[in-house]
Amino acid sequence: MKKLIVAFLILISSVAYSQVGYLNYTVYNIRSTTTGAYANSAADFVNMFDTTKGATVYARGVSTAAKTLYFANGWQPSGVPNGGSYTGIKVTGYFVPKETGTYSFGIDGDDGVDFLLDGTVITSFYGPHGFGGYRYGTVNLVAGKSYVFMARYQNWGGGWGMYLVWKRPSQSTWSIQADEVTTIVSTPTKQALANFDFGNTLDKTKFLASTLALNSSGQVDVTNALDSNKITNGYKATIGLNQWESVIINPYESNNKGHRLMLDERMFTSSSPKFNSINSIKVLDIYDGPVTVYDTSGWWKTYIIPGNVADKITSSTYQSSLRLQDGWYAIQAGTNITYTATTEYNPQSVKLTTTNTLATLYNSIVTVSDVYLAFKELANGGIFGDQTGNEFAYGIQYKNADVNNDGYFNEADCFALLQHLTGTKTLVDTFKLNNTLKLIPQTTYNTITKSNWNTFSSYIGDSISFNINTGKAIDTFNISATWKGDVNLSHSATPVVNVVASNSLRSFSTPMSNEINASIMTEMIGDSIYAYITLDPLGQSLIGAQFQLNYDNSVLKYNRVKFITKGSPTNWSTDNGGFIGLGSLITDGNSALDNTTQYIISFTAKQKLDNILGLISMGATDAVNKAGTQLKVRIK
Amino acid sequence: MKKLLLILLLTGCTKIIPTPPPIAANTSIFSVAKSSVNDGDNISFDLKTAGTYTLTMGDSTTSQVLTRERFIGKAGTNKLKIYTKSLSVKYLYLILEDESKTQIGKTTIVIN
Repeated sequence: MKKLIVAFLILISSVAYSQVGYLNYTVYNIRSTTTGAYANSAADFVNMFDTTKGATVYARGVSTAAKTLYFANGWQPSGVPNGGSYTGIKVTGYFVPKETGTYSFGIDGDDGVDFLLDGTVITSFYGPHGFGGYRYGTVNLVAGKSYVFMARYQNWGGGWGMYLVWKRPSQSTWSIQADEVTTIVSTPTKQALANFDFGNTLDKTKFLASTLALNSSGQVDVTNALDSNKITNGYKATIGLNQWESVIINPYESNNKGHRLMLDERMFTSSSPKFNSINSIKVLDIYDGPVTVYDTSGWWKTYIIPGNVADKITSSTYQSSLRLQDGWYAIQAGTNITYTATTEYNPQSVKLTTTNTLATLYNSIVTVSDVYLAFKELANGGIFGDQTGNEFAYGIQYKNADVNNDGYFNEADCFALLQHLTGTKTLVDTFKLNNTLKLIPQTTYNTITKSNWNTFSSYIGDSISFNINTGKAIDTFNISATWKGDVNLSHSATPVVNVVASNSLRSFSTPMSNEINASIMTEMIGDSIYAYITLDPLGQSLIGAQFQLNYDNSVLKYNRVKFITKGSPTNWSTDNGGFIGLGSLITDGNSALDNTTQYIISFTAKQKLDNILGLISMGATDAVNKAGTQLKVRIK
Repeated sequence: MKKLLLILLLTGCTKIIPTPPPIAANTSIFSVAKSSVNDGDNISFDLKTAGTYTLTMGDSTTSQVLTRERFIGKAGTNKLKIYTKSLSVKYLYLILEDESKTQIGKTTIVIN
């Protein structure tokens, strides 16, 4: 019972101390301010609440969003000075949007009010007045990101109050949404999802990304594999106002795609960060964001503000501190500059592993139809390789066919593919994901064309790197997977856009759209075991067939394959220990494999056998017709 | 009492997966719907007449034939040794046919 009570108390206390839905507030007595009776700008509010200029703090505290953002002629969180006259209130915290997109904020007040996110005025209703209807402003926000929240209100006399409401991109009405405000500096927990596109053939669940299993669609939440450590990558300079002009913003320059912003060298001291380490600048309400270093060798330390902020300059609420001179603006900032370290996540990567036996899997990926397609493409290229009208539909096919990675798809690659098929020499010495697999960001994958494929790196490898410094709470990475030698992309992602340009293009045949029949029969004669494989092309002009025949090598010893084929095909057989790879490929363009084709595979028993079942069985199969279409082999 | 509760709790949380019975040496494999086999097990079945028969094993999921063995059967009980190392799937069908391809028996086997 005691434990139950303790658990209950813990639950209650955790709820009570939750800061989501709460905001900080400061109540000012502005009766003695020297800055004027009304806030007519954001700068006026700064001065009005400046305790060096007559304002005094009357109360401070934390209260709910509902109480701090919506009040009229009363203030529930605390008392107010002067019965509400000569009063100012500042409400602060953080805004963490639930959605990404355009938010709309509305504010009304009696008298002046304004609302800022990250120091930028989103909407305001300055000057002396009663409640006069909402003033609206919009801003693009990113879900999960924290924005500094500030709402200000002041009243000199008479009725008083402030209403602040907003709506999310998906909403049609305005309200206070307490679950989007907090008093805590919220560092969103990064989450990352990876979508691996292997096409439709492979079983994705047999792959893992850094020990995290992919689901049947190839998706995996890799959050637990992320490196959550952050490193300092520079400094943000926040520039305020002071007595003399120390900052210059040049007009927009198209060659720099932005403005040159120049800081007087006297703004830096020996304890300041190095000039070149400034990567972000906030200057009043004009700009807050990343900058690039332009030139720090002279008196004026110069940075580039990307984009055109001319409108922000002319609409700044600090006009009295700006001076226009020959197109550039000078700002009275003096040495009012502060620095805060900026951090970012380390580069991230995930490594794929598989529970498949890779040699077996790879033999089902690079098959007779890939080899034939490569030969056909090469033949269509003409004797000088300058003809098009090719068999490949996507640029990535050239990359996969360039199995020696020399940047050229030519007869050497076709020969290597044929050697792999026939078991003379495999494409890789040992079967590993990092020498067979290619992981490519989907956006890159879709830009690989016939003309540029050899300008992309090989991408061979089992790891993929990505950057999670995106400002988003959840990053999703789409990764296209393909394989060295997978010329027909049977086990690879299909590019979203067909990017073979300027070809008289044939449509890309969908793998497995046609079938042929084959049969297997085994029998024991004496000490020998025979397996007979026969073909029935079902009318297809069959030019290639390939079989993987599994056998129990602890009981059987492989002898040979007898090929019964018409014409002069390339026939091959290779003993891989636990299976025989065998098949035929016709490249003369005239003949085809017909229903007289037969393969007789013979084994010798290593021990006395009598009445056996299951010592030999059919594994992976593949076939291709003269048009280059991959065919499904149905074993009857 | 506590132990009893614990046992009940554990029992309640354990998912029991039914497995087919292992084949008995003298039970015809075609007399049961499903059997589990290990590499090297003997299976038996009865034939009314001697002659040439075939046993076909295939993937229960895809129906694809994996192997077909031709053998000379004798009248009465026949025994075969089943080897599973070369079989790439776990759930298989097994069909016995005579020389005229008439189906005599059919069952499902699960490779352990």
